[in-house]
Amino acid sequence: MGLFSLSDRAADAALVSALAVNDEAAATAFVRRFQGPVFGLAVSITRDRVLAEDVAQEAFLRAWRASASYDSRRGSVLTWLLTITRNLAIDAIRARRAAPVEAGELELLISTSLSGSAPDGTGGRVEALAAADRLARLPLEQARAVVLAVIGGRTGAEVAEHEGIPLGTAKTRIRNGLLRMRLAMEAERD
Amino acid sequence: MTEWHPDPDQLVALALTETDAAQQERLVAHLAGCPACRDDYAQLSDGLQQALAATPAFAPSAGFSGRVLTAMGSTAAVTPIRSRRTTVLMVACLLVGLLAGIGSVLGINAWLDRSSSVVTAQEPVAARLLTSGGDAIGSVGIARRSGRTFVLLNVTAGRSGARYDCILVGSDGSRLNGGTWTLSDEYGRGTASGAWLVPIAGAPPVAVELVTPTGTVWARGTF
Repeated sequence: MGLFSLSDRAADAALVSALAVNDEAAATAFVRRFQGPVFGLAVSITRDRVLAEDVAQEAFLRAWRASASYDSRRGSVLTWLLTITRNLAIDAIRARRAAPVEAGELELLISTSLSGSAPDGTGGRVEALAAADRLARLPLEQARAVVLAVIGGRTGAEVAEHEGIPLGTAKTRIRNGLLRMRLAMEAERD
Repeated sequence: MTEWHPDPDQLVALALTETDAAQQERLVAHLAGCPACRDDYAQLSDGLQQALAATPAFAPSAGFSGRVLTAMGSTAAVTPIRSRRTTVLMVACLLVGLLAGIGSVLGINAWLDRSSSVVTAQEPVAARLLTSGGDAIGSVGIARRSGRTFVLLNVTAGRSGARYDCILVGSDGSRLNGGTWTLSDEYGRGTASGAWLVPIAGAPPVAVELVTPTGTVWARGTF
C-alpha cells in the first residue's frame, strides 16, 4: 500500500510565480517538490546518475530563469519542467558516445512507468498516477513504445530494435499511443 | 505544384526531438503557416506531455537540492504572494469538494470519476481531521475509481517537516498502516500541508489516524 500526493496545479503555478520574483522559500519548495520526477526522467534517459544530476540541476536553473514566462494554460508545471528536462537529457546523451542500454533496464523502465508507483516506494503525485493509469490503458504494444520513446528518450530506430519490429511499425505505435493519451485526457475533461 | 505537408512520422519525430536542425527549421516554418498540420502536431505534443507526467520519480543523491539552490543563488527575502484570503478560499473549495463527495481536489478532479459511483455508498464520506485538543487540521474522505477505493487525506495546518504514519482503522478495530508521509512547507506561512491518496483494498476504514514516529496520535478523522 502506498501514498500518492495529490497534484495541486494551482499551488504549483503559484510556486512558479513566486520563483519568478526570487522568493527563496518558493525556490526551496519548488526544487524539493519536483526533484524526484526531474531526476527520475534524467536518469531514465541518460542511464547515468552523475550525468542525470547535472541534467536535473540545469533543468531547474532553466526553469527558474524562464519562470516568468510559464503559462499554466499550456500545461502543468510538472510537464513543463519535464519537457525542459527531456530536451536537456537528450542533448546530453547525443553529445556523448552512444552507449548500449541493457534490455533489462528498459524493461524495468516500462514496468515501473506503467505501474504508477515510484521504485523507491515514496509514492508520487496524482498527476503522475493518472498519467500512468492512462498509459496502462493503452494497447500494451503502444504503451511500451511510448514509454521507451518519451520517458526512455529512445529513438524510433532504438524502439524498433528493442521491440524487434520494423521501424515503420515502431513509429506508428508511438504516434497512435500519443494520440490515444491525448484523447484519454480529453475524455476525462468532458 | 503540390503543396508540401510533413507526413505523420515527421511530426512525431519533431515532437520527440529526433529531427536535426535543418529538418526542425523546415517543419517549424511549415507549422507556422499551416493550421491543419499545426493542429496535428499539437495533438501529438499534448499526448507526449501526458506521457511525460508518468515519469517514475527517483530520489537524487543527498544534498542535491542544496546544490541546485546554491546555483540559483536565490537569496531574496521570503515574499509570500498568495494572500491569506486566497488560501482560505482554496482550502474551502477543497473541503467543499470532499464533503460533497465529488473528489473535487484541484488536479484530481480530472482523474477521479465524476459519476455518482465516485463515492462509496457509505455515509458520511468525509470527516474532519481533529487533534486531541479538538483543532481541525484538515479532512479525510473516501473516493472510488475504476473499482478501486482510495482514502483522500488533506492536511492544511501541519508542522513543517513532520512525518506521520497514516493508520487506517477498520470496523473490527484492525489497524493498517497506509504509508508514511512528510508534510511539505507552505512557504511564507510557517505551516505545512499535504494532500494524499491511499489506495485501499477491502472495506473502507471507519477512521483514519495520523501517528507520529513516537506513536502519538496527532490527529484522527472518524467517518
